[in-house]
This record gives sequence, C-alpha cells and structure tokens, in this order.
Amino acid sequence: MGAMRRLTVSRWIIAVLLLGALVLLGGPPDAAALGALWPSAVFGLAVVLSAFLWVTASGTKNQPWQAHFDQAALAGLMFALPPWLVIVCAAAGGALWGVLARKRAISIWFNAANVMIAGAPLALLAEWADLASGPVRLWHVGLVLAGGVAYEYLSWYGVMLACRTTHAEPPVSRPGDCLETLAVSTLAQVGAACTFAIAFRESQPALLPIGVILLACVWHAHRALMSELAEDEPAQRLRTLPALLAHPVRSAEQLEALAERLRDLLGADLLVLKAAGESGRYSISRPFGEAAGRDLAAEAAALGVSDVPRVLPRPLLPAGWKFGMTVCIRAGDTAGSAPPYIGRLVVAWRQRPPGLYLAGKVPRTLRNAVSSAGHALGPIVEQVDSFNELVEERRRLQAVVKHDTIGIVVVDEAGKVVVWNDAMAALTGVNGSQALEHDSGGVLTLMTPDGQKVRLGEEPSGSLILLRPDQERRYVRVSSNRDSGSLGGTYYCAAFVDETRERDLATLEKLLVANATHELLTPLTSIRGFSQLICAHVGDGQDLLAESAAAIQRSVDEMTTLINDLIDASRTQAAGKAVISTVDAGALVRKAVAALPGAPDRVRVHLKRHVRARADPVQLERCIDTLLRDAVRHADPRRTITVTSQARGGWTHLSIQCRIQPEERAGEVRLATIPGLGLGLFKVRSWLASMHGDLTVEATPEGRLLMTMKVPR
Amino acid sequence: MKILVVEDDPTIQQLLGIMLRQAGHEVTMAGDGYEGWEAVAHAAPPDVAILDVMMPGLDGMRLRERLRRHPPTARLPVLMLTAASGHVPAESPDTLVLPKPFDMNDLFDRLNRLTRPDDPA
Repeated sequence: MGAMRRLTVSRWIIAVLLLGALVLLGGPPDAAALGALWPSAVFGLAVVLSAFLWVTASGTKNQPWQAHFDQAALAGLMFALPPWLVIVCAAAGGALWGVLARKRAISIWFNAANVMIAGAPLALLAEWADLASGPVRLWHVGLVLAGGVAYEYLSWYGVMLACRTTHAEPPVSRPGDCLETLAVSTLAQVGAACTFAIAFRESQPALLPIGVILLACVWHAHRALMSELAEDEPAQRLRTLPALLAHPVRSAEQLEALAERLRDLLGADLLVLKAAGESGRYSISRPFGEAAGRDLAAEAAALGVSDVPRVLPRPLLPAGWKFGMTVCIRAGDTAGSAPPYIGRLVVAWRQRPPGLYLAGKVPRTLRNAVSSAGHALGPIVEQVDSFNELVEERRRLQAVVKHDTIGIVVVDEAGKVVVWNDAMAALTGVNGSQALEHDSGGVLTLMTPDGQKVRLGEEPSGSLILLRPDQERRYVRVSSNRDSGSLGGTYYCAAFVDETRERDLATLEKLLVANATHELLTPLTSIRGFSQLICAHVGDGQDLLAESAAAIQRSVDEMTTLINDLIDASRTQAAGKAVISTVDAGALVRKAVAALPGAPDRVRVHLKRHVRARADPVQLERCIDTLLRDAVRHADPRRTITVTSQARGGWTHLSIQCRIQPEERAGEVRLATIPGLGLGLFKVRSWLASMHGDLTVEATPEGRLLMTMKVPR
Repeated sequence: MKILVVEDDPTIQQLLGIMLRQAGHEVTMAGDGYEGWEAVAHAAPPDVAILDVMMPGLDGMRLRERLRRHPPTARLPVLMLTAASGHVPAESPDTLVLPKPFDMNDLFDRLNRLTRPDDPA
C-alpha cells in the first residue's frame, strides 16, 4: 500500500509540474522565428537525439525508457514541421505501419510509424489553432493535452491492432487498463514535446532546460512505476523461484510436485513440461483443464529451439486463453558444445498475468522466470534420470538377489557378508539375519572336491563342496568375481547353484551308463575275441572263413567306436546346467592356450582389448580347450593356429582358424572323416547351447578350417 | 605260467580260457571276486591275475586291493579288464589295464609286460 501511495503522489507531482510549466510558457510566440530556426543547429541536435534514441531502443521489445524520449522528440519534431510535411509524414507512417504489420515485425520502427500517424492530427490541430503564430493561451494547453491523450490512445490502439494482426504479445489488454499511467506519461511527453516545439519555433533556447526537466520527469515516473511494480505480489513470488529450483528433485513424483509449485509461483493456469531423458520420458501437464487433448509442447515446438522464451501465438493457446510462453529445455552443461535439446516448458494464463498490463518490467521479470525455470529443468530432468536409473538398477539387483534358485552372496573386503539372499539361506540353512554383517567364514565353508578350503576372496569358480553348519555337504557350482570401484570399495560377489540333486542324478546316470556299457561291450568282447581265434586258426583254402572273421572284427570296431561316442555324448549332456555370469573370455583363451602341452608356440592369439561374454566360465573354458586341442591335433604342424575375437551386436565371436594336415584333406575336407573332431564339435555345441550360444564350422577344399563360437555379450 | 582269471561272464571266461591255454598257460577260472580270493588265499599264488573290474559282489578293484594287502600276493602282477566306463584304475608297474573289447595281441602284449617288465619287446 505504501508503495502504491508513493506512486500516486509521484504521478500527481509530475502532473502539477507539467501544468505549471505549460502555464508559464504563455506569451507571444514569434512566427518568423521558425524560418530562422530551420535548419538550425539545435534542430539538427534534436534530430540526432531522436535517431540515437531510436537506435538504442531498437531490438528491445517492451519499450524501455528510451522509447519515451524518442516518442517525445519525434512528437516535438512533428509539431515543428509545416502542415504539408506533417501530412507526408503521416502517409509515410501509414505505409511503414502496413509493411511492418504484414511482416509481423513489432519493433521500435513500428512505434515510430504509430507516432507519425497519431501525431499528425495533433500537429495539424496545433496549426489550425495557430499555436505557432499567436500567443499561447490556457485553452491551447488544454487542447494540446487533449490531443496528447488522443494521440497516445491512437498510438496504443495502433499497437493493439498490429498485435491482433500479427498474433504477437500485446503490451496491454485494453488502453483503459492503464488510463492513469497513460495520462501521466502523456502529460510528461506532450509537455516536453510542446516545450521543445515552442523553444524551436520561437527561438527560446532558455525553454530547452525545461523540456529536459520534463523528460527527466518522464524518466522519474517510469522508474517510480517500475519500482512499484517490482514490489507487487507476483514479483515477490518470483523472487522465491531460485530457491524452488535449487530444491533437490530426484524422482518423477518430485518433478511433478515441482511443476505444480512452479505453476503456482508463476501464477499460471497451465504448466506443461515435456522432456525426454535417457531413462524415460516426462510429460507433466498441470492442470489438464481446457488444454486437455492438446499437445501444447509439441505445437510450441514449431517455434523452434531457442534458449530465449517465446510468446505463444494465440492460435496455439486453448480457445479464450490470453497469454502463453514457452522455452526449450536443454540437458546440463556440456563442456565445449551446446547441451542437447531434451524438451520444452509451456506456461499459459487464462487471464492476463497480474501487473503485465505495463509494458516493461513485469513481463521481463516473468520472462526471466520462465527462462530460469527452463534452464534449471534440464539438470533437474537429468537428476531424475539418474535417480530412475539407480532405482532400476536396484530393482534389477533386487530381482537377481531375490532369485529363487541361485544363491547370491556379497562379501566386503573385511570378509563381512553384506548380501545374503533367500536361496542362499535355503542352501546353507543360515538365514539372512544370522549371516548379514557376520564373518563369511563362520556361515559359509567352501571346499574343493579334494578337501581344500576355499575363501570367497580367492574368487572361486566351478564345482565345489559347500559344508553347511550342520555338516551336511552340498555340491555347488560357483561363479564369483571381485568388484572394485562401482560399489565404492572392494566387494566379492558369488553366485551358487545347488547341484546336489543334479549330482545324485548324474551319479545314477553314470552308474546306468557304466552298466549299459558293460552289458554292450561284454558281448562285443566275445565276438571280437572269438573272431580273432577263428582268424588265427583258419587253414589254407579257408579264405572265406578268414575274410568273414575279419569283417566281423571290423564291424565290432565300428560298433565299439559308436558305443564310446554315445557314452561320451551322454556324459557331456549330463554335465549340468550353466551358471551364467560376465566373464573375460580373453583370459580364458590365454589360459587354455598356455595349458596346451607343447602347443602355445603354434597358437597366435589376436584378441580385442575387452572380450566380454555372458557365459559359464567353466563350460566356456571347456569349449575353448576342446576346440584348441582338436585344432592342435588335426592342424598342419607347419602352420600356425589363429585365435581371434570380434564383438558384433549382442554377441562375442571367438574364432579358431587352422589348416588341416594334408593327409586329412585329400581332395575335400569332410569333418565327419576327421577322427574325433565330430564328437568334439558335438560336445562344444552342447556346452554352448546350454549358454545360449552356438558353434559354426567352415571347412574349405583348400584345408582351411574355421571354428567360431558365438556367445552372448 | 599260472594265470588266475576272475571274470563273471561265462563267454569271456571261455574265450580267455581258450586264448591262454592255447598259448601254453595254466589257467584257473573264478566267477566273481570271492571265488578269485579263495583261489589265491588257500593255494599257491598265480604268476599273473586277470581281473574284470565290474563284477557282482567283490568287484575287481576291491579284489585287487585285498590282494595287495595279502603279503603273498602284494606284488602279484594284475591285468584289469574294463569296459572303459566307470572307474578305471591307474596303471602301475604291477597293474595294467586292458579295455574291452580287447585285441588278442594286446592281451598277450600286456601279460608279457607284466611278467617280463625288463623285456623291451
């Protein structure tokens, strides 16, 4: 209230000063002085001053204080011009207005056109009243003031008309909304204009300081108004914006709450936030109301990507809405390049925002607020994104940890258990509360099949024996690794699959296979042995008998090979299911190559830096080892064997390439004819299939053999 | 040479009997591990024992262990016959393994290696 009173007092003081100055200006003007004045240095100075003010004000949209001066100076010039030139100026102003309106360019030039159009009737009125030649009377002053108000109204209506034509932001809703302000502004401007005009026409340079004082009054009024408006409620609310935007936002729900508070703070009836982060899209509209069904953010995107807030053209707003602004949202700062555009913020009002009727400070403050919100929302969306990823990672981890059949243990560097899932509790008989934060050695005893104890810190893998606290033995398959860094500190993670039941079944299966083998091979032994006896004792002339016995022996050999292959294959398939984890396939290749007896010199390994695979480390090592041994066994010893890796899509390809020995590739290489190779490939295919992988084998007539394992990355 | 054959399959028994006797060896037959043990525990030990690994009752592996613990047969050369599946004993100077189905020449080669380890042939 105090501020409002100061504003009103300030306005009336200005008004009184203006009236007093105009009354004091009475006296006989010297008509002949106009001729003497033109073109005088003072007049030239006024023209230069006008041009300067136009230039400094051009490009700004909300009529800064320069605009008041330039209007005053231009109006003064209009008063000083002869009637025919005033008419020419009005015509030129009309043409300029038409051109600018068609180009939808509301600028300081548009203002000038308005002044030229609206100032012409006033100048002609002054000419008709013979202001230039007769003495200035009080009714002259009233006439000038009335004309000034009319001029200002006409000027504003020109602007309004132009805004409606161009769908631009109008500075006022109705000229009547700012009648008092316009009156004060007009009094000051017209008073200054009259002072300058009379000073020029009647060669009274002493009046120029009065004109300057009046302009100072205009400036003072303007500043007083702006200062007052800065204290109004919307402005005070906007001051809390930085604190609101600095508040930590980590989830989509908090982002929605922020949007709600932002809408209240801006005094908007609608706020639309649409952004796309790495982990999701955020589309918030508060409230939906009349904008429901309209994708304002998408429609506003037609305005282009700009870091400066743009006023929404009326056609983009819901029907009957008054005002809207949009600003693009960019991701957080990126060194050396512009952050990417990730979304858009739209705010809109059903009614004109409070205080916005004055072209000047408040719209700029509001624009700055929208701009600040837009700039701050980028990092906020990124924060929410990071939080979402963390939540998603936790969910995935939870899903893994809660896995029904795979026991998961995580142990910190000191050996304390930090993760112990239900499957682990079932496996060991030790529940989470007994295990967590306790030493892993007390709740988990691991042993190799030959009885040696193993610690989790040794990153065990493969088949081990887990000794429960009740001394019951469980056969487990273990896959473990060490994590240094991503969790902050060093942790040992291990996954356990209970193989006790599978092992019992495997034992039974082995027994069955052993019995079946025995039953099958025993009669073959007899057949072979007796046929050999026949061969050894046939006499001369019994060739048919000897040939028959030899044929029986060959058949026995083939059948023996067949039975052994089948037994081997059944063992391979009974090897157990794979425990999948991320493994360093490169390390497995190097390990297998180093273990080849006398062969490392023959094998060249060309691997990418990180050969990652999602596989069972034990089975993958078996695959690599089997293929390498087959390659060494069958390859030409004079040629090298090459191991290469390639990452394609979601797969890691490990290839072993060699040249088959010449005697094994007479004519054409047929894989089935290479002894043992067929079974080896069968076994590797079985192992890879259990890890969702595959094996392809290519052989060329030239003897080139390429075996490629494909496993998920 | 006196050879003890412990084999549960009568046909293999018959085959081994023919092969070994035709080669001039003296063969004692046993149908399972217990019979084989009785044959060495209450008589002079043979020069070589041929044991089938998989037999009902006392199998070839356990019979071999029992022979090793019996001082008169502690160093008895043993040839183990196996169907190549199941537990295969490790070879040593006094124990060799012959997978089934075997070749007659391999049989005599291994018997020769057991009884005359210094003979390069």
